[in-house]
Amino acid sequence: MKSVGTPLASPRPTETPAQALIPSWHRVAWSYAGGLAIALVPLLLLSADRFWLNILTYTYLFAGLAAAWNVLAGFGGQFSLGHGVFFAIGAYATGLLFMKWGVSPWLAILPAALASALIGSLIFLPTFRLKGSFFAIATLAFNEVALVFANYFESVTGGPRGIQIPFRAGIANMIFADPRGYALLMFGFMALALAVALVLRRSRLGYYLLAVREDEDAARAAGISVVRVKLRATALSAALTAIGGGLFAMYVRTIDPPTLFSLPDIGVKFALLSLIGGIGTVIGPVLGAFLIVPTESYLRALLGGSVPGLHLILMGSLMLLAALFMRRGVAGAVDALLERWRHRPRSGR
Amino acid sequence: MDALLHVLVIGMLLGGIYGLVSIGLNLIFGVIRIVNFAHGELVMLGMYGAYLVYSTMGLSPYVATLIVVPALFVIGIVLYRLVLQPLQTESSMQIFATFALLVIFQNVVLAFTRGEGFSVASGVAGMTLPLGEIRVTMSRLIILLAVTAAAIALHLFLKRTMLGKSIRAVTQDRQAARLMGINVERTFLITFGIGSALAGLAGALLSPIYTLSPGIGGNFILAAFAVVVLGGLGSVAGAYFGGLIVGLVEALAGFYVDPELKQAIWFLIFLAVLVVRPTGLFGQVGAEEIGFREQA
Amino acid sequence: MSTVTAAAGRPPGEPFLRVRSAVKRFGGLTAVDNVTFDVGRGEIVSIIGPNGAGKTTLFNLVTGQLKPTAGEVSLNGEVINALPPDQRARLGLGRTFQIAKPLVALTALENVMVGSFLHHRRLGGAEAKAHEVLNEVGLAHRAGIRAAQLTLSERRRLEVARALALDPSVILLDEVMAGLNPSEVGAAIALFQRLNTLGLTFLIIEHNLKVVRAFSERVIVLDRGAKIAEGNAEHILSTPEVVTAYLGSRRR
Repeated sequence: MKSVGTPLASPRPTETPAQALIPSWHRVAWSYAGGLAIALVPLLLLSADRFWLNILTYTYLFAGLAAAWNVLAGFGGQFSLGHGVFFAIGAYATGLLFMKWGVSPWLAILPAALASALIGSLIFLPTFRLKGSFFAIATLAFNEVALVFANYFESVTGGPRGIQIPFRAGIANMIFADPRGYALLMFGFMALALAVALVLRRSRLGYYLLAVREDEDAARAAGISVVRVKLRATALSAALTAIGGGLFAMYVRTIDPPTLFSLPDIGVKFALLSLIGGIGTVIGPVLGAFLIVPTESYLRALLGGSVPGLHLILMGSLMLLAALFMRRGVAGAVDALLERWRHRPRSGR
Repeated sequence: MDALLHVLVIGMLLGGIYGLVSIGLNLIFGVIRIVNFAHGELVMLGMYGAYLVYSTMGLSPYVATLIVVPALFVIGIVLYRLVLQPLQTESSMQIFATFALLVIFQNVVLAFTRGEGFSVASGVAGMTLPLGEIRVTMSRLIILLAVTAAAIALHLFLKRTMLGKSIRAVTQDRQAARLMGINVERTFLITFGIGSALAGLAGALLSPIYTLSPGIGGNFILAAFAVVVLGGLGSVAGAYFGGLIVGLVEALAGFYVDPELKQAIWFLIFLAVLVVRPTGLFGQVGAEEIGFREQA
Repeated sequence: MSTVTAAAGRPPGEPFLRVRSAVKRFGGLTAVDNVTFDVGRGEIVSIIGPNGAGKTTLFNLVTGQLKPTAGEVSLNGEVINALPPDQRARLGLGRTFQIAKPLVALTALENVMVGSFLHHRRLGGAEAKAHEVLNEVGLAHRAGIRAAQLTLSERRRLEVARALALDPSVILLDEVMAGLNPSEVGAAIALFQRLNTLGLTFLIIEHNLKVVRAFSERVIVLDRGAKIAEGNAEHILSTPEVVTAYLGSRRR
C-alpha cells in the first residue's frame, strides 16, 4: 500500500485536482435553469386540462414546501413534524392582512414569513437538545396545540369554520381567474425554495448544518455554534413554509384549522415527500412531490367513489414499500447507481 | 366540593383509560425507542376484534380479551419482524413507516366496514355503581382496575422473570446487554408483541365505552405519547401514574379553564416536561438518549 | 504555502496554554486531581500515563467539553473556563478525538471545508484552503471520496486536517497514532514536525513511547488523575516511578 501516506521531506506544491470536486456556480446555475425548464414542460402541455392543471399546481406547491422542510430536517437532521404550524401562520397572516387591512398578498407574505421565522425560532429553541424521536413528537405536540388554539380563538381565526376569501380576481389580489396563473405562482414558489436550498447547500451555513447533523461534537470542535446554526435553519425553513402557506390560502381561499393542521395532508406530507424523494438532497423533495402528489390525486379520483379508503390503502402501501426498499429515497437510489457505474471495474485491472 | 369530587373521579377514570392505552406504548417506546404512530390503530384493532367476537360468537367483550389479546400479540410480532426490524438503523424511515401503517390500518377497516359505526353492548359494562353522590359506570371502573392489575403484573414480570430482566437490561444499555449474551433483536420482538397485546387489551376493554370508528385510534395516540413522556420511559409506574395525571389534568382543565382547551393544556404540560425534564417523572433511561449531556 | 499562521509577536517559550490546579470530580470519583502545567508557544508537550489516568478527561477540560470542578484553564493569558468548545475552537484551539469523528455523509474535501469555513466565509476560499490542507496531510488524492469509505489511517489524517483547517495556534491530539503502522507513524511525525517549525503548538496524549521520544520536548505523566512527573522526554522515560506506574514493575 505504498500509495498511501508516503513521507514527504518538504511540502508538495498544491496540485490542481483533475476534475472540480465542487461544481462551479456556473454549472449549478445551468443545472438549476435546466431543471426548472423540465419542470415547466407539464405546465405547457396540460394547460388546457383543469383537472391536471390543479394537480400540477399542488405538485409545484408541495415541491416547494417539501424543499423548505428539507432545509431543517434533511440538511440539519432535525426531523420536524410540526411544520404545519409555520404553514398555518403563513396562511392566517396572509389571509388576515388581506381581508382585514386590504394588504396585497404579494406584500403580506413578507411579514407572514417573518412572523413564522420568529415564532419558529422561539418554540423550537428549547427542543433542540432533544434527540430524534423526542424532537419529532415535541414538534408534533406544537402542531396539536396550535390546532386547539386556532379552533379556540375564534375572533382572530374564525374558529373551526375558518376564514373565507371571496373571489375577487386581480393580480394584485393574488387571485387568478385563469387557473394557469396559480400554476405559475406555485411554480415560482418552487423555484424560490429550490434556489434557497441550492444556495444554502453551497454556503457556510449549509456546511455547518450538515456537520451538526452528522456529529455535533465534531461540529463544535470545528468552531460551530450548534444552537445558532439550528436557529438559523429553523428561521429559514419556517419562513419559506409560511410563504407557501400564504400562497395556499390565496389558492383555496379557505383558511381553516382542520385543513392546515392535518398531519396526513400537511405536516407529515412534507416529510413523506422528502423521504421518498431523498431526504438531505436538494432535488429529493421535488422528485418526491412529482411522484407522490399526482399519484395520490389520480388514485383518489379513480378510486375515491368505489370502496371508501381504497386509494389511501394503496398510498399507504406504496409509502410502506418505499420506506422498506428505498431507504435513501429516489435520489439516493439514483446516486447509488451512479456510484456503481463510476467505480465499475475497468478492463485491464 | 361535590363538583370537585365529581371532576376528580372523572379524571381518575379517564386517567385509567389513558394509562391502559399507554402502558403498551411506554414499553415499546422505552425499550426499542420506536415512535409507533400506529399504536392507536392497534388499540382500534383490539376494539374491532372485540366487536367481531361479540357479533359472531355473542361473547362479552370482557371474555373476548382472551382471544383479542393473543391475536394482537401475534400481529405485533409480525409487524415488528416485517416492517420495523429492517428499519431499526433508520429512525426517520421507521417513524414514517409506522405512519404508513396507520394509514393502511385505518383505511382497511374503513373499507371493510364501509363507514358504519358499531357498538358493543355488554350487560356488565352498562351497570353503574354508586360512590357516595356519584354514579360510576362499571365499564370505566373495570378499566381502572384493569390498568392497575396490568401495571402490577407488568412490573412483576419485568422484575422477577428472566425475560423481564433482559428487557430491562436492554432498556438501560443495548450494547452492554448484547455483550452479556442477551439476544437484543429477539427481546425487541417480544417486547413489541407484548406492547401490542396490551394495546389489544385496552381496545377490547374500551369497546363498550366508545362507538367504534376506524379513526378512533387518533383520539388516543397523542394522549398516549403525552403520558409516556410525562411518566418517563421504561417505567411501568410512569405509564400508570402518568395516565392518571393526564386524566386528572384534562378533567380539571375542562372544569376550571375551558373544555375547549383541554387538549392544549395537557400538550403544554407534555412540552414543558420534555423541555425541563425529558426523563419524565419516573424515567430511568440514560439522559444521553434524550440529548442531555454535561456541557461547559 | 503554510497552513498554519505562525505565532506572531511573542518570543518562544512564553506560557501560552496554562492549566492551574485543575480538578474534575464525577460524584465520588476524582478523575483529574489538582493538575498544573504550562505549554509554551511553539512547544510540543506529551501527556502519558496508564489507562484510566485521566488524560482524556484533562483534555476535555482544556477543550471545553467538560467544566472543571475547580481550577482554571487559560489560553494566551485569557481565562477560558466559561467558554464552550466551539468558542475555544474559534480562539485557535484545535483538537482531534480519540475515536475519529468523520462526517460520514460528506466527502473528505467537504469534511475539511467544515473546518476551513471558519476563516474563509465563501465557498471558493474554503474549498481552496481545504485542498491545501488535504495536500499537507497527504490526502489530496482522496478528496472526492466519501468519508465513510476512508481507511482508519485516512480518517485519522482527515481528523487532523479538519483541525488544521481552522488555522489553530495550538492543537490537541488524542492518541492520534493508535492503530497506525510504522510507516504511517513516520509520515505523521514528519507532518507534525513540519507544522511545528511553522509555529504550531502541540499538546498530545500518546501511548506509543517511541513516538513520545521522537516527538516531544516535554512530557507530563499522569497517574490516577494526578501529575506525578514532568520533564524532558529522555529523562522522564527513564525515571523509575514513571516506569513502574506506566509499565508495571517490568522494564520494557
